[in-house]
Amino acid sequence: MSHVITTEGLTKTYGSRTVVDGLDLRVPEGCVYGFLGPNGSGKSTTMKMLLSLVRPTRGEISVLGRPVDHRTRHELSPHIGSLIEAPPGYGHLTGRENMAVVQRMLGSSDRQVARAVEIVRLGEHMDKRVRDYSLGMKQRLGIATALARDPRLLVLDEPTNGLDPAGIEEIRELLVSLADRGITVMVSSHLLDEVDRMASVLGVLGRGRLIFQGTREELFDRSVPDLLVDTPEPERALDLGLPAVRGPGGLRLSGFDDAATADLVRQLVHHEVPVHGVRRVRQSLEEVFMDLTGREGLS
Amino acid sequence: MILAELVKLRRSALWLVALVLPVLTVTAGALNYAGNRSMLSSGWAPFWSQVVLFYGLLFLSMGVAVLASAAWRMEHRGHNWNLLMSTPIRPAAIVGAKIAALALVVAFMQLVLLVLVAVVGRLVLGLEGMPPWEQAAVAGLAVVAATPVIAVQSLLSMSIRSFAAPVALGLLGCVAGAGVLLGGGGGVLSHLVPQALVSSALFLGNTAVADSASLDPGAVGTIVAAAGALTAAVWALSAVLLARREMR
Ligand SMILES: Nc1ncnc2c1ncn2[C@@H]1O[C@H](COP(=O)(O)OP(=O)(O)OP(=O)(O)O)[C@@H](O)[C@H]1O
Ligand SMILES: [Mg+2]
Repeated sequence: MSHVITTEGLTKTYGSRTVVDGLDLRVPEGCVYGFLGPNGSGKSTTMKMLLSLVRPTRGEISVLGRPVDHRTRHELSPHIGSLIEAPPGYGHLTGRENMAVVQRMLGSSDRQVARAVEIVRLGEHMDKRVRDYSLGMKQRLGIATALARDPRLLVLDEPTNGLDPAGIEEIRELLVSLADRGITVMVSSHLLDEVDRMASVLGVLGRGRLIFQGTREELFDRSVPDLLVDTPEPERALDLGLPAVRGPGGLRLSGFDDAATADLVRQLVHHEVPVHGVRRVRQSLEEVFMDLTGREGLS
Repeated sequence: MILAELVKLRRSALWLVALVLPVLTVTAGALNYAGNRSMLSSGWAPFWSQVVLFYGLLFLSMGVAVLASAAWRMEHRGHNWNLLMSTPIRPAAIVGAKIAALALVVAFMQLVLLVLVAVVGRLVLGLEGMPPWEQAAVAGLAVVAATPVIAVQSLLSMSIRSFAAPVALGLLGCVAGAGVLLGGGGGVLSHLVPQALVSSALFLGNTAVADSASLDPGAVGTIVAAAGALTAAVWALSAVLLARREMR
């Protein structure tokens, strides 16, 4: 599989603070790549480095098969549509005038601009001043700006920020349809929910480190859901010194993989604690995410 | 890129500044002229000298400072820097287009000044005929002479997010420029301090300012050459700084 973005040991340090730490990103061609992490985990900083808006302290970046630095920026930028942190836009100009500014900077054709506006469905608001736009309309204009060059790669930083559920759904469908046309989309969010159903590959950041990269299924496999032990006598089990808390029907234990579970059951049986059942908690993807970022990221 | 800058100027507050400043200038000049009728000989030349006195020393350069801050504020606001820097446009073109757009607004401001001088001179002060062509020539030359100030203020406002700080630095420049001119240091120095260059150009052929040169090809040529060299140097510096800039 060919990768549109690869980084090796990508690192950014501000003063003595390392905000992005040794990332080895692999973004496959034609996918929607969900770039997840809690606030302040380094998503925006990473994306700025991919666009050479910020210089890495260490590490290599290759985008569309070319090394990225401020010298290659003008060669790569015609192929990369981006939206970083908040939608840009000149408030005193209308949507149409904003698109005219972008068109002139990019040298896009009228057709490309018209199509970008059509894709984000902003047509009827084009003659309104951008300072009077709602946040959702600004996001749309920002995405239209990114699309106005027929990009091969889209780098979108929290494009669903501030949108209502219908707006989020619309952006989701839009990004999936763009990926279907072969455009690689990298999209960040601090909410797994938002990217869950659009991203086929996920990268999870915690405190500047890449703590997971892979498919949704691999993410599930990675995490170990809590164990529930059904027993009428939880006190006896607790007396054994197990790292357990009381849970529904008995005990709840964290971080027990399959081997540890077998050991646990053996121990309980050995001490003649009645075991009625052992099962795992069903986890939502969001919980898996919280689990990962909470455990390895923020703690 | 210059086309993109022209779109950005639509409905922008810059035009208001370019309108208000000449109004203030000509009003002040006319009041001065009317108040000192006994001391001044009457006619277009004395009126003009009252108009350009403060305009040349302070108003034009400070106006440019405000215009430059307003022009770059559009980019500092929102996240337009990210947009600007993720296009194929080279830093030199980004900075050059900004300087050109500002020069256009300054040219408009000079035009307003000329029209106001003619209108106020005739209708309010009752002067005969029309202002001499030399005044139009000087006003036009001042646009050229002001490009180094434009370039310097543009560089400051590009680098500093604050609106007021570059304007304050511009005021310092005006003080230095006036010092160079009035201190009689003249010569090379008055062509190296951008604000002094503006004053020198506006005072050409002016009887009210003691050691101003006459409006001859030599003086004009020197001013144009100095303006060109200073602008090119500051432009190049801005482009280099922009290329190295990190986006926040
Ligand atoms: N220019 C800068 N100078 C110093 N520190 C910075 C700078 N830019 C970002 N940081 C710090 O780097 C860390 C990561 O910031 P970044 O904006 O990349 O996080 P993020 O994952 O995008 O967060 P959010 O979800 O809030 O957008 C933060 O702690 C931030 O304070
Ligand atoms: Mg961010």
